[in-house]
Amino acid sequence: MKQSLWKIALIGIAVMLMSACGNESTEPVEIDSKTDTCANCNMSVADNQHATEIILTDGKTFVFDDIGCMFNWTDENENKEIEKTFVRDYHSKEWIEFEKSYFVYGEEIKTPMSYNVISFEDQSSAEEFAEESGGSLLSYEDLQKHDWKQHKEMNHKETDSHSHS
Amino acid sequence: MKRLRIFLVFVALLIIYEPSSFAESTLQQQIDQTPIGGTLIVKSGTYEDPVSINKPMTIKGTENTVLSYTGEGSFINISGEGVQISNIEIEATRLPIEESAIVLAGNYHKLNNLTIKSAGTGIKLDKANHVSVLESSFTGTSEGHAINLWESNYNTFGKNSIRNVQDGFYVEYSHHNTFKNNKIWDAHYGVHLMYSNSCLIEENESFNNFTGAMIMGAEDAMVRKNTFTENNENVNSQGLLLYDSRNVTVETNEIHNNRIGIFIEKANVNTVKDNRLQSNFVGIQFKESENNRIYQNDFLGNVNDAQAIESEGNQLDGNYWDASAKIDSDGDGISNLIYRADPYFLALTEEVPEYQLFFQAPGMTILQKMLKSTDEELLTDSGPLMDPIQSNNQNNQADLPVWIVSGLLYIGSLFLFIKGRKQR
Repeated sequence: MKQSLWKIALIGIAVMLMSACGNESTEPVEIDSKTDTCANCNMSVADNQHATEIILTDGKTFVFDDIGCMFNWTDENENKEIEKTFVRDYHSKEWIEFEKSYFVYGEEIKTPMSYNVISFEDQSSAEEFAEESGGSLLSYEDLQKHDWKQHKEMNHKETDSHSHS
Repeated sequence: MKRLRIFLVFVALLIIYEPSSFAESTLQQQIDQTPIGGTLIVKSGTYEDPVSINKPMTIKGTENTVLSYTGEGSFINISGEGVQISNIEIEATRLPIEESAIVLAGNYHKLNNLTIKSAGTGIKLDKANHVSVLESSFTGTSEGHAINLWESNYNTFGKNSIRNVQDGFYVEYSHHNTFKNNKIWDAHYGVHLMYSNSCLIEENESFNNFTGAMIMGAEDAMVRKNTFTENNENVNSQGLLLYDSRNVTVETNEIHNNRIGIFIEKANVNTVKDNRLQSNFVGIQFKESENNRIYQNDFLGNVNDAQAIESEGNQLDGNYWDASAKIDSDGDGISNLIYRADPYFLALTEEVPEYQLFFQAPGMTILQKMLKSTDEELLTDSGPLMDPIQSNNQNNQADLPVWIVSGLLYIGSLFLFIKGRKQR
């Protein structure tokens, strides 16, 4: 009887220790498209391949609808201590670690806020997509130097074949 | 004799093998057989294959014509000019989210009196101009948009009723479009402008949505005479959101019972005038926005009238704030007391939204007085009005019965008084 109590106590302590070390494996938080809005642009975040999130060391989570919005936010919040950053694989929509991902930028790629950058888990599928879409492959390091222009800033002209309205 | 027999057999074969397809030709064949400028009356039925129309012609239904589409790509693909479709119900319940029941390219098409039930988007305009969609109704599954515009200009959308969709109108890189007299409810966003300039949003009713209208990265929009009400289901709901937009005019709207009436973020040089903001949790809220002019609005019964964070140079003047103390010593209808909105509570709750629990707690009031916000942080109206600008119609209607009743009471009491005197 006594032994089993000891066992329970030990297990309890072990569980506590494990959970204390939980920070080592910060898990991504699921997107709730009904209530989640982008921390940068206020638009609601769809539960799709463009969603990204930042988890701070104090446990606060910020979600974004576009990788470009996330970069805007980190520029404006340099003093925040970031624990983990997640993006999603374009094909599988699974959460992947931002620093280990590959990216494709292309003017023809549509993203929620028109920054036109998408993320992939492995280099080969990113390369393949870049080739098919005429976009360019970017590593995580390349992305830090990327010029975040929105589609609207790229001579998006008003086309009207018959302007006599 | 033999010849006759062969002839008879031949005739019999002809009768048996007569291509019955003519009576039941596919919809595409019927479209192809319709001459340019002609009219095709379609019949109810189930259609598996998409169709394309690329010449001027009219497609009509008779009473209760239902086209039930079982395919998985867009159903009706229109290009060229002058295609008209009216009087049809389209059910596309198997459509994937990213597909649309009707896709339009080209110019001068007219869609009238359609009923569209789509699991994806209802109508997509893809580089289409001068198109009108009128008096139609859209029901979705909250996943697709009712109407989606991409690089499409000078289009008109009027008198449509839209419900249970992602966005009523999702408008991207599309300019000079008019949205008038539409009714949108149970949607994510009623009207959603993205990088679209010079659009007119007028006399629409947008209610029970996540957000009534969202104006993002748009310039020169006019938002006039709409009602944005009951957009409050969600912690991030608002009646109207201006984000990263310039030269937008918001005038004469009724903005009631929303979580935030008007939210202006990273948006400069916009005008908000002659609106009534009533019974919202926050009437108007600014964040990182400058040089906006807010005047002649009525703020009635909002929990917080106005809040501003990191926003300077916004000009508020001549609004009516029902909650503020007012003194008018010279009788010019303008209060001598400057109205000030302190962002303290909002600044506190922004970091930790749960602090909203302490709203109007006594301790909070003391803290707010102790930790006074600097003058730059305050939103001030230097000439707040003594009386609301817009007379409340409902009140006027209520006035007449009140007068009648009080008149009757007065006459009644006078009668009793005289009668009582006579009896003495």
